[in-house]
Amino acid sequence: MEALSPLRGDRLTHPPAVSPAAGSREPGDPARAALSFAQLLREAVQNVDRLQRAAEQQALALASGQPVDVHEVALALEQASLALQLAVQVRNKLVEAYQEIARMQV
Amino acid sequence: MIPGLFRDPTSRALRLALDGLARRQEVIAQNIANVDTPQYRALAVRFEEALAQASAPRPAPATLALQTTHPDHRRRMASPETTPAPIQVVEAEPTRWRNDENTVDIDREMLLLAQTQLTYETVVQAMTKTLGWLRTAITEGRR
Repeated sequence: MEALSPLRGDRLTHPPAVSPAAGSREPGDPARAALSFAQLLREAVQNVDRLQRAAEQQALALASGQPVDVHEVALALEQASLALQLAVQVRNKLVEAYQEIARMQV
Repeated sequence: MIPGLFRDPTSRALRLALDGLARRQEVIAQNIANVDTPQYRALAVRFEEALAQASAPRPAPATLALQTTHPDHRRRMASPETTPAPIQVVEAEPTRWRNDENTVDIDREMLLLAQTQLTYETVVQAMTKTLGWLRTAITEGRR
């Protein structure tokens, strides 16, 4: 069973290096870091979508009379639901953080 | 826009499955009620094949209008909305023979009833979860 979190909780404590020269102050660094973060978000959304589609396929297979275990369907559905909820909450935190910074007086 | 939320192939397929399973449960109940009726032929419900066909990936619908030169010419290609997958009630294959020509196999009906109920409840749960995803997106996680 794959990791439950689409954002891979271990990445919070062991973040992958954003660029080969992590920590350096080269001019191209912020651009490369931004691209990496965008990729991270995109991967997370794609993961959630993939989990949802897989769960739907399992449910349809069961409904079509194919030999699918009921617990497999239930677990796949729950996994997709949790992944979506986690993604939504992370998105909320990001939006909240942006709004807090936008409120700052220069 | 609102009905469009529920028109995706998966939702329709799950709804079809629920209709089929509910119909099957009715037919089983009728078979059991008629276990001693002379000459009664046991019935069965078929929808799984139609369901598999309906949820198979289909090619994109034609966007060109068909040229019609006669009132009887069809104007639209068949689409998921106009040709729903059917739920068929047919005579069940007999598994045993009796003198009074009744074909109800009570053991088979009881097994099928248990399986139908289990599948029905699981598909209901699947519908609830998939609709819950929509709700999560709409309410932004109940903020």
